Formats: sequence, C-alpha cells, structure tokens
Amino acid sequence: MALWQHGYSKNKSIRIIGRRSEVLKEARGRMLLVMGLLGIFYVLLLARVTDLALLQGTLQRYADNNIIEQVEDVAPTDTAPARRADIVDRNGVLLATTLETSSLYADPALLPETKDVARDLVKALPDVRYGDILQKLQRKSRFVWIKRNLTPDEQYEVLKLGYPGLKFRAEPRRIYPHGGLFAHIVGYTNVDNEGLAGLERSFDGLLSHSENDTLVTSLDVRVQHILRSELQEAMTRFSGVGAAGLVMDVTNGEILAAVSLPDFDPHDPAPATLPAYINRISLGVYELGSVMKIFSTAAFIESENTGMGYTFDAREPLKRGRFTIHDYHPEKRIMTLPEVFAHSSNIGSALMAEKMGTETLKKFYGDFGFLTAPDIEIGEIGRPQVPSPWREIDTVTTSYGHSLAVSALQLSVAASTVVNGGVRIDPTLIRQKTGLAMKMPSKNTDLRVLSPQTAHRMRQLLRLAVTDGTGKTADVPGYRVGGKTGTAEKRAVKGKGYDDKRIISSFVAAFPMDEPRYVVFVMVDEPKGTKESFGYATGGWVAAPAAGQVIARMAPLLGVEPVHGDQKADIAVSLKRYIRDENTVAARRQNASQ
Amino acid sequence: MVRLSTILSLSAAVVSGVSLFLVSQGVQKSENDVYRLKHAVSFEQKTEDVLRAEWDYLNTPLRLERMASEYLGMVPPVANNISTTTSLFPDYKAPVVPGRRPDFLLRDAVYDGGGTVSYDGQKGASQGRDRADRGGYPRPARKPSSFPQASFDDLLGRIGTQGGQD
Repeated sequence: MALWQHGYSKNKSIRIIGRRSEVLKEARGRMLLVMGLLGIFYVLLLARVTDLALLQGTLQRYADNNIIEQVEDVAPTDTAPARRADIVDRNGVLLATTLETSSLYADPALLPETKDVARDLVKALPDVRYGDILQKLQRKSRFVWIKRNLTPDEQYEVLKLGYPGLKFRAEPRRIYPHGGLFAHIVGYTNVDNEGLAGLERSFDGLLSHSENDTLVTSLDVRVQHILRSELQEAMTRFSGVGAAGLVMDVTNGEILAAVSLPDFDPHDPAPATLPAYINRISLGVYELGSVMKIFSTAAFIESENTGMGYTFDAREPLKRGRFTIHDYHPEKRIMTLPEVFAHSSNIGSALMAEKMGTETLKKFYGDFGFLTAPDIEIGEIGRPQVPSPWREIDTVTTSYGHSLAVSALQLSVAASTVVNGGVRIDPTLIRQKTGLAMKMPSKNTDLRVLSPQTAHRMRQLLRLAVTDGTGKTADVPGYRVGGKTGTAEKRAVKGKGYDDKRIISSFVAAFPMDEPRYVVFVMVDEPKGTKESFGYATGGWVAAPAAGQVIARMAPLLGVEPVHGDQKADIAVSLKRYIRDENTVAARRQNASQ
Repeated sequence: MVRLSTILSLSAAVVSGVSLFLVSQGVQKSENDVYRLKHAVSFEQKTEDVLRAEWDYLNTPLRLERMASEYLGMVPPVANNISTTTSLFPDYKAPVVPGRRPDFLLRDAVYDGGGTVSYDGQKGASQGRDRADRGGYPRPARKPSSFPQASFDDLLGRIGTQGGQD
C-alpha cells in the first residue's frame, strides 16, 4: 500500500531520525561525490573536444597559416630524402646543386577511366607515350611512376587535369647550371641521384651524406670557359674530331680547367657512351709527338750534365734497323742542343736518347709519371700504353713522342714538374683544405725529378722554342710564354704503322717563364689544314695559337702581372748565341767570298 | 555535510586539470610553432637554393661575355691595358655629381667666396654681403628650376667625349 494512501501527500518529505538518518546522509554525500567527479569528467571532456575541434582544428589552421600554405605549395606530398651536397668551383660558383622537383605517380585504384587519363597525360606531358602510360595505369598496383622530375610548367598542366589518382612526390634533382662545361670532370648522376661519372661518382658517398657541406674543387669557371671556347674555336677552324685542354697550377697541382670536346649535357648524358665523347683529358691516351722532347731533353741534361753547346749531327736522316728517322723541319746541319729543341729535331732527340741509354730514359719517364696511371680524384683514368717489351728502337722513338701513349693529364703533370723547379706534384681537382676536402687524407708524394739547375735550363729552352722555334704563334706580349709544339701521326686503324692523314696537334705552354705559375695544354685530334694555314695542321699552326689565346685571356683574370719592354731580361736571351742566325751566316759567307 | 578535505581535493583536482590543459595547449602551440618555423626555414632554404642556381645559371661566363660585348662593347683585356704602377693613373678630379636640384645650403658653402661666380654673375663676396644684409642665405637671381639639370645620360656623354674628366 502506498504511503499517500495513509494520508501522506506526495510533496511532503519524510524525516527519518536515528541510526537510519546517519546512513542516508552518508549515501547522499557519496552521490554528491560521484556527481562531482562525473561533472569534472564532462568538463574535461568538453575542454578536450573544444581543443580538438577548434583550437587544433579550424582556428589553428586559419590563425597564421600563410607559411604552411606556402610550404604545402612546394612540398605537397611525402618527405623528401636527404639533399645531395653541392659541388662548387674555387670561387664558390655552383657547378652542381640539388633542387627539389615534383615527380608524378599514379594510384590506379583511384583512376577508373584509365584511357581518358592516359590521353590527357599525353597532352600534358608531350614526351610520354600513350601506350606506356596506359600500360602502367592498368596495373594492379597502388603506385606507378608516370614521370620523374617534372618542370613547374608540366606540374601545373597535370594539376589542371584534376585527377585525384595523380599525385606528386617531392624529389631532389641534380642541376648543373653550366650545362656541359664541366661534363667530363664533374660528371653526372642518375635519376636516383647516384653518381655515375666524374667527381659525382668518386665522391658519391661524401656528397650523399654531407648535406650542409660543399665539395670545393680547384676548378675556375672563368678559366674553364676560356679554355673551352678557344678549344672549340681551334677544333672548328681545323675541322678536328675532338680536342682536349688543361690548365694546371704548377706549384700545387691544382687543376683550374680541364676540357674535353665534344662534351655533352650532364642532364641528359646518354651520348657519353659513344667513343667520340670519351674523356680526352685523363682517360684517352695518345702518342703526343714532339712535346715529349721536353722530357727526353730534360733527362739528357740532368743525366749527362751537358752544356748548351753540345752538338748533334742532323745532316742526314738517322737509320736504325728498318726504321729511318727524319726531321719534320729538316735543317740538315750540325745543331746545338738549344737548336735541336727549338727546331724540334727528331734526329737530335733520338741521338740524345741513345746517349742516355734505355735504363736512364725509362727511369726518368717513370719519375715523370709516364709509366703508371696517374692518381687523381676521378675514376676515368687511362693507363699509359708502354712498349712491351721495350726494345732499343723504343728508346729512340719515345724520345720524340712515339711508341709511348700518355694522357693529357700525365703530360701536364710532367710539364709542371719540369717548370716548377723539378719537383713532381700530384694533380688534384680539389681545392685543398676547404669543404669536404678536410675529411680526406692528404696526399704528399712530391718527388724531386730534376735539379733546380736543369729545371732552369728547361725554362730557358721552352721560352726559346717560342721566341725562336716552332711555337712562335703562342707568344703573348707581356707574359713571356714558353712551350713546345707536338705533331704526331695516329696509329693506322687497319694494319700496322701510322696514318699520316690523321694527326694529333698539341702544344704545352707555361707562363710566365721567369717564375712559371701555370701550365696550359692544348690538343686537337685529327685537325685538317686550311687555306690560312697553307694546308698545315701542325701543333704550331693549330694548338699553339689556341694556347696563346687562352693565356692572353686568363692571365689578367688570375692576376699575373705582365712585364713590358726590356727584351734583354728575357730568360732565353742567354741561349740565343747557340742559335744559328741566318743573317749572320750570310754576312760571313759574303765576307769570305770577298 | 561535505568534508573540507573533499572540497580541497576537488579544488586541487580542478586546478590541476585546468593547469594540465593549459600546459598541454602551450606545448601544442609551441610544437606547431616549431613545425611552422622548420617548414619556413626549409622553404627559405629551398628558395635560396633555387635562387643560387638561377644566379649562377644567369651568370655563366658565356652569357656575361656575350652581353658585355653586345651591350657594353667590352673585349678581353690585353697586357698593354694593365698597369702595375699608380703613376700612370690620371690626376685626381672631383667626382661628377649626377643631376639634382641645387641645394642652397650646400651651394652657399661651396660657392661662397673664393672668387667663384654666383648665379647672377656677381662674385661670391657680394653674395656674402647680400646674405649678411638680409640676415639669411642669399637667394639666387634665377629660380633653380631654370637651370639645366644634369642627367645621367649627360654624365655618360661627358665621360665619353672628355675621357671622364669634368
């Protein structure tokens, strides 16, 4: 029976007293506690919901998100991998850098109309093929690459299509701001930024893991440009099939410029696999002809300790076995040592080699670095072709640059050795003690090859070859250039012997000869004579003028001070008395006849 | 009756909760700031990389050489163009000031006295008296705007015809 049926109204409360009252109070307190805790819980829940919905959501996004929007524009998708370190020249000019580009991939599951997508993609990206794209889009995969490293314009065109299944991934792309100017030295990478050639390959590990560091090379973009333009000019004028050049600091072996033509675009290096595009600086080896007389003459002076008045009988061609050695510019007389050098007499050089003997000459060639592959920071290194077995006739022929094939790099190192005072230095493409070079072990294998006295004599002889010899076209007023020409027939493609139609013309120069600082080597492969050169394509006509132009343009840039006037102070003046003066001879003959 | 300890406990719980919430918000805001700053740095770095590459691309020696030749008529120097002694340099001359309106204060300081000719053709000394009489700086006889104003082209023309000497 309900209480109100006993006279109690619903609104009236019941007061309970006694022990039961205490129990009820306790129960009410617990209820309040539970309600309080639940209240706090709901407040916290509300706060968290507010936080998630407003503070971290809309409000945060619109609060100050200009930067985020900009960032998202640039990197809309996945995190990019580590950036490959830059390669710079000695003045900090970028030779290779890494920029972030967008690569296009597709999620075929989100692209039901694959034919339409493929058709639109071909319109947006002209260099992709419809069949290839369609095949990729029809795969049972959630990820297929469409095209890597798009240009901003291409990305814009794809974005305009508006397909949700076409997505971009930020990827680093190697950029070479100077195009093919350093193609053979700096090298290139593949699409995954792995070095495949040149410095990119040999320093692949360091470049990949040194994001904030730079590889500072010894190269100078200005000198490289000068060398390339003059080589290109000589190659074009004389219709050569290739050319190579190198500029080296003779005091420390740093290479300021190294050019091999034809070159290629490192962004699209496919032609480099063709023989015409090989690295003619360090990989290609050639019989370089008379420029090798520098070293046989230096070896002769050093080993025989002879004076400049030493004479050689060059009246008749020299017969050795089945070989007959001629002079290219026959004087047909007895010549002094400076005359042999200045007029580039093969007979004189052969006689020097015979007097020295095979062992002595080979020892010097070894010290100059001609018998082993050079050590430099790129992998494209050619081993010299040394006669094997070395016969007596090889001693004679190598003295004037045949039978021994070396690279332009080896020749430049040896020439530096001769003019820097006689110490062989290691060539390098890295600016020492800067950037990543700090992490490399230092090389110090300098070797004295010639005495300072012999080196001084060779400087005089090299200067003489320019003032009074075959290298006159290389002279640059004010810079006292010294050098030696070389003209060598190439080996016949079929059969034995040499092909006199295919030659290599070269010139190795040093300046200023009073205290040489730089060596410049220029070589043109298979030049053809022109009307202006009277049909000649020798080193004196082809390579020497190019070397002179290189020096004339680079010397002011590198701060080499010109010396004007006072011809008597020329280093070669003291050797001129060993050179036959045709006017004096004619006058004497006239006096005698009278 | 709710005990005092219960109230204190509840208050402490509320204060702790609120504090924790505020700290959490602060941390999240800081994290967002760090994220934004990192991305901003990354963005600036990428922009700088692009600009550096573009700078070196636009400054390739071949392009500079062509432009210098085409627009400035420059050619590579030869040894005779280079002097290593300052004795061959021309005497010092006052720099040519490009065109601008005359500055009366400066003009007064420069032209007052010394026998230089003033605007109205009188000697500087009379200008000095005039200024003293009126108790201020002299006024030019003609308005400054009537003076021919030197332009940069005029300057280049003078350099071209007079070897750089004013």
